[in-house]
Amino acid sequence: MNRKRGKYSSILQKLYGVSPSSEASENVMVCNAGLSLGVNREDILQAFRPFGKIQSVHLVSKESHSFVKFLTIEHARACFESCNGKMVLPRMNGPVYLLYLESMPKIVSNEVFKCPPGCRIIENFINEEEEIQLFESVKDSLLDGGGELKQRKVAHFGYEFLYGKNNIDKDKPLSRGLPQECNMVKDRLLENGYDLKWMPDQLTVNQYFPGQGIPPHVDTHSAFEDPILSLSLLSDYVMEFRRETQHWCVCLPRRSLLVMSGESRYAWTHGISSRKSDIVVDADGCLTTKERGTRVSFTFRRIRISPCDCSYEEYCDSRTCQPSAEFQPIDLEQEYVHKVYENISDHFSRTRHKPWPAILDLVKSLKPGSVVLDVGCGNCKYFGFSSQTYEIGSDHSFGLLTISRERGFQAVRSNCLSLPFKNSTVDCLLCIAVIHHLSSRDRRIQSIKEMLRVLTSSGQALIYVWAKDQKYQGKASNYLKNQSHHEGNRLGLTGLEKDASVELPVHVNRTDFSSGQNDVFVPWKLKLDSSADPSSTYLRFYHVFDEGELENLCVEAGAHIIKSYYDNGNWCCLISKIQGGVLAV
Amino acid sequence: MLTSKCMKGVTQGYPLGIQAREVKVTESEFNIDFVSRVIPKLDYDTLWTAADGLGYSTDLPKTLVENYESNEDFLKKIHHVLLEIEVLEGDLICPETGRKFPITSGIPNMLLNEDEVKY
Repeated sequence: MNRKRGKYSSILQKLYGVSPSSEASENVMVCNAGLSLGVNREDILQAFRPFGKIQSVHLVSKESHSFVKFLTIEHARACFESCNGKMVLPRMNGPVYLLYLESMPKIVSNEVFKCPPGCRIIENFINEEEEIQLFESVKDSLLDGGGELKQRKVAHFGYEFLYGKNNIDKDKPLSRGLPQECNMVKDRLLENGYDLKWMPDQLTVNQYFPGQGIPPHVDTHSAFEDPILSLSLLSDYVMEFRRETQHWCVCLPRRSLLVMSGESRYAWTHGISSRKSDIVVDADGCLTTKERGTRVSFTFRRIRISPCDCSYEEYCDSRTCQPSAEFQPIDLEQEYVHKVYENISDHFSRTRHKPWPAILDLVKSLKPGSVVLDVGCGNCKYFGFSSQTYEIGSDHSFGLLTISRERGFQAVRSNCLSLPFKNSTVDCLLCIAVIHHLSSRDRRIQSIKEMLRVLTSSGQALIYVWAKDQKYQGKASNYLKNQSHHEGNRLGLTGLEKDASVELPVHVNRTDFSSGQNDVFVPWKLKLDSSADPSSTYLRFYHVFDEGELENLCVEAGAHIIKSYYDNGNWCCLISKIQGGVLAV
Repeated sequence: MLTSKCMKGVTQGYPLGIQAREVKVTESEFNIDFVSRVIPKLDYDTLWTAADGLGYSTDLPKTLVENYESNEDFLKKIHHVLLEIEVLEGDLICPETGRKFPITSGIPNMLLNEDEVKY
């Protein structure tokens, strides 16, 4: 115990300049449980709360320790005596080791309970009777979101919200207007001192069951006026707001109205984590967990007629080109795909060593003498498993090709839209996680045509693309499951240089894509060798695929689909040429 | 197998000429089965011309020998030119337009400019 005390004391002193206390104190360090070990705030809270009231839990990114501030010394002592050296947290092998501290280290907590600027909660905006009436007025309209939304039930009134575009069609109002029960919103706001200049003309009702959520998003500027109103029914939920590195939590009590205006409406994303309970602040200002019930939210909006004139131009789609419509595909790929892979090639390659089993099976099953071409080969991780095949890698990134060469493979620099190979030369073509970087449908089809051109008549091409739906048949992909190891990525973006002429949503790493649009930027957080260097984040353009979309592209490109399947967050197609109307075997 | 046929105005773009500034000869394990199975995939004339351009054609017959599957000596020569000779620095040249594709550190750069591509 003494040796451990010495070790953790020196960490504490070195990292935070704080000393352990020999006396009991309300500040406690949990020496061996932290984010880097997969322990989260809720685990700590659940473990210690039965013994004492907790004011705050501080987790430090990439560290294996954490800090807990108790309400009083007595609460801390009760917990310390019951847990130190005894309590085993989830995902941990041994018991926790605790230290009292003289003071709390000055660290920024990554979850703060406060409202972003321009955001306001009006509690008890409606009474219990109105809550029931409102729910009754929409409950028969709530439908499963279908293909676009696997998560929650939704209903639209006034105008339909189109999830693919994150917009509404101004020329196509729905025959169904807003329920009468909603008419009181404007007057009720005025009673609460908020003068709404218009009547809402669009309503989206969402029903969230425990465990469901909505990915972080900003409501499209050009689509809706300021503010956005959200009325919460039936259960308290925590909403999370993010802007750059800031990540704040706001409790939305049942029957409250959330008013998002100004900065909070235009520049902060808001979302709800998919979980079954929330961490909330109780009446003593202490943290506690609260089970979620079923929440129904009424989001009231006003359709915007003229372009948005907000003062947050960098977030505004009215100031820039319309998403996915007018940007130059080649420039976008150059800036947000080719340049990025060049910059991250070393780090990217270090993270790409484990081949996917289904792809490896194909590579290993090839006949001796087969010519294998990997389009977008990266570091050629599918090569070298057979001494009997002739392997060629092709990629755009010189950095990745150099790594492939160093690993002993043949590599050619080229673009997948113009493969520098003769017709009918390749027996097996791999194209793994490549064509989702192409920025238009035409270009994605062209890339498949190009693959077919170089395939022999009996050749096969295997294509993998990232799926918008990262959960399939109830199973989350590894991309989602790796969440806890990438906590750093979720805290926001730093040092991003985004060209103002391209306006696309930035995806939050390790979250689902399912309610966002298909064209997104996905951050790559560059980790440099020396831990002293600051990491920088690069944005990569992705078009994430809907179910059936890849098959349609293949058919349109003239391919015969041998099989198509879902593999851990990817849609996959194995295709061949069609020759003279006869299927090649 | 490389071609410049994706260039505008180029019909075949094959075979590409080769000019080497630095050639590296390595040794790799001879796999008789593999070499004999890969030969039918190759355009033998092109292979010979490329080897000739690099000065490695002396031992190599100008046309594909018959019954090469059992001719270990010949297969070894093919193995050598195909797998053991690498152009580290040089150019590949389009036979129709003369466009040069530079080879740097053993990697041919076949990227085309926007105004050169067909599609």
